[in-house]
Amino acid sequence: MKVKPKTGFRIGAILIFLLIFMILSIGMGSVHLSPMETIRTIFGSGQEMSETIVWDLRIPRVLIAILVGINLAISGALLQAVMRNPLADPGLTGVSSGAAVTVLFILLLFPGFGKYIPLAAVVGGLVAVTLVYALAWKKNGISPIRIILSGIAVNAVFGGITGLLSILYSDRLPSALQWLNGSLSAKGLGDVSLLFPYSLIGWIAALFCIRPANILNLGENVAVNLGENTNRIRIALSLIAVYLAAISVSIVGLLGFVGLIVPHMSRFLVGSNYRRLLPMSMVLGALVLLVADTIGRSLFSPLDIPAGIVMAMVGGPYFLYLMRAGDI
Amino acid sequence: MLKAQSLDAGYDHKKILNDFKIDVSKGEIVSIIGPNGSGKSTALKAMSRMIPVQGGKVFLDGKDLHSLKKKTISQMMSVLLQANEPPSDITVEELVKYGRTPHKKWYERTNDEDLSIVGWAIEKTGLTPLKDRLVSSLSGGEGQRAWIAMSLAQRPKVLLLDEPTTYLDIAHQLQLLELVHTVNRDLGMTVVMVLHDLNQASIYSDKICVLSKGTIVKYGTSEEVMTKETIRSVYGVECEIDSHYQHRKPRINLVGISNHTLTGGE
Repeated sequence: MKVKPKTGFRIGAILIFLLIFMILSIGMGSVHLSPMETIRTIFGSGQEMSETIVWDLRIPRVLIAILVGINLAISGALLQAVMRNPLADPGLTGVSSGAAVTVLFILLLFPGFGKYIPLAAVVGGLVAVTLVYALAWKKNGISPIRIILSGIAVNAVFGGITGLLSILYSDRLPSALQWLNGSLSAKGLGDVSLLFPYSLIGWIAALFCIRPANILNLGENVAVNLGENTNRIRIALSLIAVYLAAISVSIVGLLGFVGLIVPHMSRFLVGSNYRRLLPMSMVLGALVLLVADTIGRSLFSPLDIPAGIVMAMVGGPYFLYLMRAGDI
Repeated sequence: MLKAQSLDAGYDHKKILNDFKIDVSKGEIVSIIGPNGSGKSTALKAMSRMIPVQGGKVFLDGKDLHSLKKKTISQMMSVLLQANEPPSDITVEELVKYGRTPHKKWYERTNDEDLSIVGWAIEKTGLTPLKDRLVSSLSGGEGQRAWIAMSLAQRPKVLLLDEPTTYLDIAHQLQLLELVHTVNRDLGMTVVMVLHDLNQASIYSDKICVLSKGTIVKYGTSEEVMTKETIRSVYGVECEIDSHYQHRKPRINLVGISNHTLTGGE
């Protein structure tokens, strides 16, 4: 019976994969660069034209994919701890659609207020998750199955509002359409420097969630027996999860399945202890989204398929596989 | 040590437990018995803050449970309910380590003292050879002992157990009750447990609390509680009672279902 897989080694291996894939991804595109050329260009000794492409187009996009991948993976992992259910992710609990409504609202109605988009996204995500939890709340606390059911209802309402906004302001929609589909295209270093500090705060907060998440994993009764305020832990973990998902939505739009698939794959690789699961989800989340985006922009080149569409097409079947495998 | 004062409890608006009063002294083993649906588990959960009480108070070491911090309660009292589902990949030792949580601040890590207590709890429950095994791979009896080891690692003064012997075969049932007995004797740990088996309750308890339809019918020593009349009126069965040759405690021999139960009379 296997007991302790060499988990540190596995996290390191995925990290090396990620670094290699970063170099490859930066080199891929209409102007192709070999890995050596890519490295030379990054360190300032490449050709001028490739330097422009690498720094203005490819590196920002790769970095955004990594940041968003990490954020969504942590968000999913935390929500799964809150609900003790592998189905939980920012999409399912209404966080993403709530954030999307407020961001779309600003994009379509108040395009001049672009810098408030991350804040608006967090507000939208919070409203959605508060609604979901309020609907799921019973006298003794929050029951996972009720969260999932109320998540479906709240998602439907916010999805409806998104649709309504799209129709009412269809003339202005094209500018928002790429965003709605979860696209990483046309991101600059400005987006990276906007998202990175916000993300870093969330990551640090997430590190403090490791022990509470592990204790929730033991079950409600056991956590209470160990002196934990389970509802307070659930709320704190949810807030961090909402925050990380919402700031990501505000930059790249609706990008599903990362928060669902990545923690599951990580659990398979390193087990359910968050001390290992969280770091693994972070590196794997970055890798998965980077791969999805690289596939999206190279498969039908010069067409740019949003990473959200790639994730949905791969994530849906994976989700069914999870169900058939009896994990859900 | 643990005192319940006219406790009312139940689920949603349904009241299951009425005016539950019990006063457990330090170092006692008290068993709660009664037919299905009599409120045994509800009483245990209400005393251990696992469900909200609808009325009345619980005192732990003389202090109102509501006035104590959650963490303080968990340093003094450990409660083990039925049907725990640990993560599938947790080992016995990892599980038992969580028992130290109540004694740690959020930034503190496991230290040597914790490890020695964990080792002691594992040894006490006879799990030393199994400490690196996954809890999910253990048999029912071993798994139950792993959870008890976690409770022991809490070093509580009071241990509450909800039907600890359910789903175990007879040998493992006795092994577990012997363990409870040892812990009680060696550490002076106060134990309150819900049991199904009348003879086990009789042998292993200092006092027995008999519940029927949510109210206490009798509360006292085995000799006081285990009478033909009580068992007939609470369970609707006839029995003969003699003395256990070894423990000198009442032994209940079931004879059959009481006549008036068969005919559906009250």
